Amino acid sequence: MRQYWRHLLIIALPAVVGSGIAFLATTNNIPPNNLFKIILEIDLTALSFWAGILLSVATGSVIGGWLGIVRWKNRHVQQAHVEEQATARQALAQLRIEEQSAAQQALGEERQTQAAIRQRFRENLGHELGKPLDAICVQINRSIEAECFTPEQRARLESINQRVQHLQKFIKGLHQLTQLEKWEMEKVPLSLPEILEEAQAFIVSLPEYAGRMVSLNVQKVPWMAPPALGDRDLLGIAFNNLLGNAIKFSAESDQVEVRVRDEARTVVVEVADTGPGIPAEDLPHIFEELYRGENRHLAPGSGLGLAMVRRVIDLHAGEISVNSLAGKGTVFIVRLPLASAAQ
Amino acid sequence: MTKVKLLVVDDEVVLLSALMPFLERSGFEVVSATDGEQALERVAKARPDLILLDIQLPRVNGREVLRRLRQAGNWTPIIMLTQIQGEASPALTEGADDYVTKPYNKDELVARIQAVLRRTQQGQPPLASFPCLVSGDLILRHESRQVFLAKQAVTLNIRSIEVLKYLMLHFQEIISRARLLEEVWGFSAEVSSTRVVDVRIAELRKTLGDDPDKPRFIETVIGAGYRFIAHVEGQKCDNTGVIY
Repeated sequence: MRQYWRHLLIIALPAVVGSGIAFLATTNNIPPNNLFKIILEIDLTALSFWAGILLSVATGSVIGGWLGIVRWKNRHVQQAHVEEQATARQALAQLRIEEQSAAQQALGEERQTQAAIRQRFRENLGHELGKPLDAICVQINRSIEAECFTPEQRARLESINQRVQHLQKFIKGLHQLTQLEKWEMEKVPLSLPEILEEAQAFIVSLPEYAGRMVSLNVQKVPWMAPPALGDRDLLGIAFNNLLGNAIKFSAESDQVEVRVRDEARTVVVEVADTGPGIPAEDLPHIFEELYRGENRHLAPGSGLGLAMVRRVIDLHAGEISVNSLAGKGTVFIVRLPLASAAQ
Repeated sequence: MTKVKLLVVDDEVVLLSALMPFLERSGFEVVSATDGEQALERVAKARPDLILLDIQLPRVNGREVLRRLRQAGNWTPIIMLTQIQGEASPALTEGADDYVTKPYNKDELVARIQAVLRRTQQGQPPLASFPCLVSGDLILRHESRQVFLAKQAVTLNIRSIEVLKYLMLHFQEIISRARLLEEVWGFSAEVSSTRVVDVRIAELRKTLGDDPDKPRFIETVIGAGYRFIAHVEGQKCDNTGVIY
């Protein structure tokens, strides 16, 4: 604002000076110049008055114009400078984004490489273990069929056979995990209660869990739990696994409850049980491949199930977490993006 | 009637010694080989009607044996014995007629051998080596996953197309839900409900206008699974579904 006062002063000063001259000319009654009076018949007092006014206006205009031009030029330069700065900032931001995306790309590539290494490792492991196991399995079955063993020896053979079959299932589990690394996602809007009902039906249809109860609690008020965006078949596998675990690790007298609600632009599924809980030292590792914690003696398993669940949730850009208290129970919390968030 | 002659190739002698008598009891004449080179020799000498070929073999591996035979124009039906599923799909495009994942059930293996023998035509490349599977006015361009019905492109999602492909490649063979789940999804019936298979079959039927009571394409075999009942042949076609 100060700079404008200065300009105003510069314009006003000549005007004040000019007006002062004109005022002095009229008030002091300056004697008329005969020559001028004769030739132009103009009152010199009036002439000096008008000359003063004209001078002030002309000087004001010249100075004002000049200042205007200077300011316009300055503004132009400033604008160019601002534009230049903006371009520089933009370039810097772009550079940062590029750096970030390069870092992200590197991270992504690193993850892909890791995934490829894991996949190759699983495939090789499958080969190396699979072939001898098949041979062992064949030998055992032939021996069992041979009918030349005592009942005790037979029981031992059956026991070996069971363990071999367990290993064969484990290899299958490795293949399934590998399968997920190259899974082609088919994301569609899904009703999670429907998938959970199917998972519930599937789990209780398994002979080992027949008769077990799961209560399903779906948010209906003030609105229905909205659809999530996901691959139906994959999520089915993930929830089959979580529900299966909840039942497997709890007693018949325990309760298993599944809850569905929405929260902060996500659909949340909680699978809770009043089972023995997971020891605190195991909690950070339970989603790792092949991790078998303290509770392993409670139920058979491959140590691959939760790794598979986490992989499925990762493929959905979702989140999975777990809360557990020893002696109280466990709750697995899955967050999935809303179908509407994708639009 | 002459017996069908099988060549079984596996480096695991224990498996061979168990499998060979079983196949003989099932009515086949059986010769064996324990490595790739021996397999190629036996093919030339014994001229088997079908080859059971393990993938991991010493000296020349199973896929190389397959490639060499096909490059030489030998179209003897081949069933690959794979340890893991990931190996199956490249083997099919390289000219195998089918694959069986180990550990296999012996009765199932015999059923698969018979299905391949029924399906394959003497001296003809296997279906999967053609870009298009054609059954009447239904065309599946399987590599680009395009489906055409009565010259119109049909929209189906990936899994449904894969189910259709598996059924067409194994036409006139009863495929159990568990087998479809394992072959198309890669999951055992222990981790996933076979309902996912039924959902896809329903979608296929709806899109293809196939009435389950009077099926043109996919029949439900109660208590057993599904069967693609129409005949399927391999053709060449462009990306608009025009056969040439």
